[in-house]
Amino acid sequence: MENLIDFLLVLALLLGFACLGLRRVSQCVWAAAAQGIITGILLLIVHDKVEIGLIIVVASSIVVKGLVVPWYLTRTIRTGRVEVEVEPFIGFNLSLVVGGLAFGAALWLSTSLTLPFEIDSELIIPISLATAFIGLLTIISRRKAITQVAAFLVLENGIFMFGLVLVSALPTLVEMGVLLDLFAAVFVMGVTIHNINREFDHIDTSRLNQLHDMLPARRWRMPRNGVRRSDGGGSDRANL
Amino acid sequence: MLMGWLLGAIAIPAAGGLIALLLADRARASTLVGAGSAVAGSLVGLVTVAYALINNSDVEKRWPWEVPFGEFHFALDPLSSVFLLLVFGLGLLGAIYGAQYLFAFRSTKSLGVPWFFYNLLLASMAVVLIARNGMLFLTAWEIMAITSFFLVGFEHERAEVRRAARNYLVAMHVGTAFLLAFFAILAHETGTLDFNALATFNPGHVLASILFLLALVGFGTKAGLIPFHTWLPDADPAAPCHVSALMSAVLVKIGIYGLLRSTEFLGDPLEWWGVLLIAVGMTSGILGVLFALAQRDMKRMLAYSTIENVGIITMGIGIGVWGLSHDLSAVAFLGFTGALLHTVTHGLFKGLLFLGSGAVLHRTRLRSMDDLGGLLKTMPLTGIAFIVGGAAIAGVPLLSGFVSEFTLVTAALRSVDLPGPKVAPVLAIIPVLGLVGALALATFARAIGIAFLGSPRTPIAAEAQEVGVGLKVPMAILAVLTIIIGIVPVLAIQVVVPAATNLSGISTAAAAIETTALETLLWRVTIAALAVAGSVAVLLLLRSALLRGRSVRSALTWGCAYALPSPRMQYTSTSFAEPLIRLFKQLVRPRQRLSPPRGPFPVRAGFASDAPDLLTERLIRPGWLILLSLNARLRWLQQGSVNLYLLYPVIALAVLLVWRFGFAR
Repeated sequence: MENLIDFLLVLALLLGFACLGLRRVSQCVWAAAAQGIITGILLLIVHDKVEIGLIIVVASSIVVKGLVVPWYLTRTIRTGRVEVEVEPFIGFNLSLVVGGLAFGAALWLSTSLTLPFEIDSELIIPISLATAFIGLLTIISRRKAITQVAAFLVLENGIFMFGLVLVSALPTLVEMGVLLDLFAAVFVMGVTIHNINREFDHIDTSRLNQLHDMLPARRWRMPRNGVRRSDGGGSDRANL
Repeated sequence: MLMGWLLGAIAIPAAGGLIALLLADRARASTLVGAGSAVAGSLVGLVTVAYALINNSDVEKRWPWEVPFGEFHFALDPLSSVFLLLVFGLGLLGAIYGAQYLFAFRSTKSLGVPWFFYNLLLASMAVVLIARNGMLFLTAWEIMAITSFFLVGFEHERAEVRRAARNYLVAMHVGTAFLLAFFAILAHETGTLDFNALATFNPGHVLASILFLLALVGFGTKAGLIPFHTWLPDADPAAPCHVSALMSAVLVKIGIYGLLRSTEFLGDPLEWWGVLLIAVGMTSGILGVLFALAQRDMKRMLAYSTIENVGIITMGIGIGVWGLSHDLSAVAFLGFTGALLHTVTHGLFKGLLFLGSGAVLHRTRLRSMDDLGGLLKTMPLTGIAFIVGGAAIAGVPLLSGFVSEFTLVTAALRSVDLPGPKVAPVLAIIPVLGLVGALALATFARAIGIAFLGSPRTPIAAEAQEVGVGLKVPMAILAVLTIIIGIVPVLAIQVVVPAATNLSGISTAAAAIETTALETLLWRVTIAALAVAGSVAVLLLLRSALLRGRSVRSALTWGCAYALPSPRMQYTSTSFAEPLIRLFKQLVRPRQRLSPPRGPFPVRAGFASDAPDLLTERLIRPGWLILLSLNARLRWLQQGSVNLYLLYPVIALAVLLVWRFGFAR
């Protein structure tokens, strides 16, 4: 039993790394979705006795994170014609290195977290922390909004896995609430991405700064990137 | 039981507002529900409060509230009752008026939204007045600020309205910040925010003074006292007229209420508090009326006049506090009586004036009085109502404004009970009241003369028609009340006496003696004024009798025997005010642009003048620019890049995690 839990945890971590290192946006989304399914299964295994509430949480989290959200995001990818993540702020290889460091940091942090009760696997805390870190790292370092949504899923999976520690304490209602938040957030992001895409013909979030409020700055200093460019060229790096 | 009725009076408009919001798409239904529930709730409230006042019954109710320091602690005492009468009275009339006034906007705007906020504003004001817990008070206070912000921004398609609403929101929250500090210090010192417990708290002189200053700034901002008034001249004109009336007549008075209530928590007052209040009141009074005199926009003028009158009220509170500090309970009693009386009477006639200017605006859409003229002929009831209000605000006898200002003068004169030079600041109120009254007379003589007399200056003004019954009735009620209180001041005095008795700590017997003396004095003046008015009436009758059977020729008011008179030859508002403004130009600093006629055959010549708010121009705006330039130094943090924004919390999180867990072994 413990072996199975450990195996699934490591798999979830690797999927997080996959999301961090993969170039194709759709692969990122599916990696995050698979991770979501695994976390759902983990919740089922960790519990001692199976209740109806648990089944509902597990089933709905698998359906939402494993099916609805990836389907929705894939559709957005298709309509938005976003294929590949280009020019991330932190390169793919470097990202993996930083992700490894984050895992190290998570391991280090987890040793100092003292818990008032026994847990099923010692790996739960470091891996859930590392998954959350990796999710954050992906959000920060990528340009495409859809990758960021997928990374948000990874981050949420990390938090969900951390919740495994507290199976006895965390009521079903809270987990359902978290799931609802996630669903709403992804939905809103999808709509936003769709609209940004329709208005600007791209969903490069690093160029959203062209929308930013220039009013006070105009008085004192023209923002360097205050003028909206019409081409979608690769010169955006100069902005940052 | 009484509290149940009162809470019901608050709940009815709140619930009605919510339903009106749900019916937002249907103008007629949302108006019916919104205005109807405000009227119903206000009627219930009025009856309840009047019953409590007559039977002298104080009620108190508590329910638990799961918030730190919080408790649903409500109570009704005479002080609350005075202000509640204003809230429900003006709320009632404003709802009747607003129903017709807002209906003109039905094609462009959803009417459910303003009714939702109007009713919530009513409810929150009432809750502020009966709250006896700091958390509850601040919560209702905040709802009050936000709902009125949305009402100010009703016509948000106009840029100046948006600016006014934004300024209003900022000013309200600056004020609230001081109140937060006020209550935080109290909570820290006493461990509770229950008003009953705070009333027994006796802080030392230093702490009490700090608390007093915090309350003065916090509540003074709401009251519109100079120098915290900068929101008022913009926000009041921007709001729809029934809201302006409610704001000027009632909302700013909630600031006065807060000031009065907070004095209960500060132990024995110090003398300099009273002197400071008098000084602030005088500044507001004089500057307020001077700026009112210099305005062309009618509603802006009324807003400045509100500042003036809040100044007068503050002078009264100043007398009260000064009297308390010297243990002169009679002086304190008369001062508080005068302040509360003026709160009530100003509520009536300022409401009346705003409704009158709203009626003009409703028919003409013209804001500058230089575009009006001759409206008394086309809109007689509005004109008469405005004249009654204007005369009352200038302190003309037989109208309510005189009663309250006269009481204040009596209070100031009573200060000579204390021998020595310390009475100087209190006695100084008398000439200041005289000056302010005279300038107010000039201000409203100007407004009435320019807008309602003479001949129309624009075709729109010429074609104006009298407003409908929904606008007429509230104005008529307020005008009648203004006259009744002017002739029978006992009615208003008896309403405020219990509250003033509590505030001044005077014995009921002594209060009764003082009240009788005041009423006798007022009665004599009223008799004299009635005699004058009667003789004028006799002369008028005589005149019409003598003129009977003769031909009477009428001509233009400002005719001046010109061969071809045109409306443009009339006095403008600026030219009317110019001689007075010139006397005070060091204070007002009017901005004038003159392009004189040149050459033997001048083609163009022009003169324009306006009076920008001195404090806004000289103090607030430069300060704001300095703040902006400081902020600009932080622009590098706010680049507009989502990734960077996300990085900030991640860094914060990482630092926190490492700090808390990494080295905590």
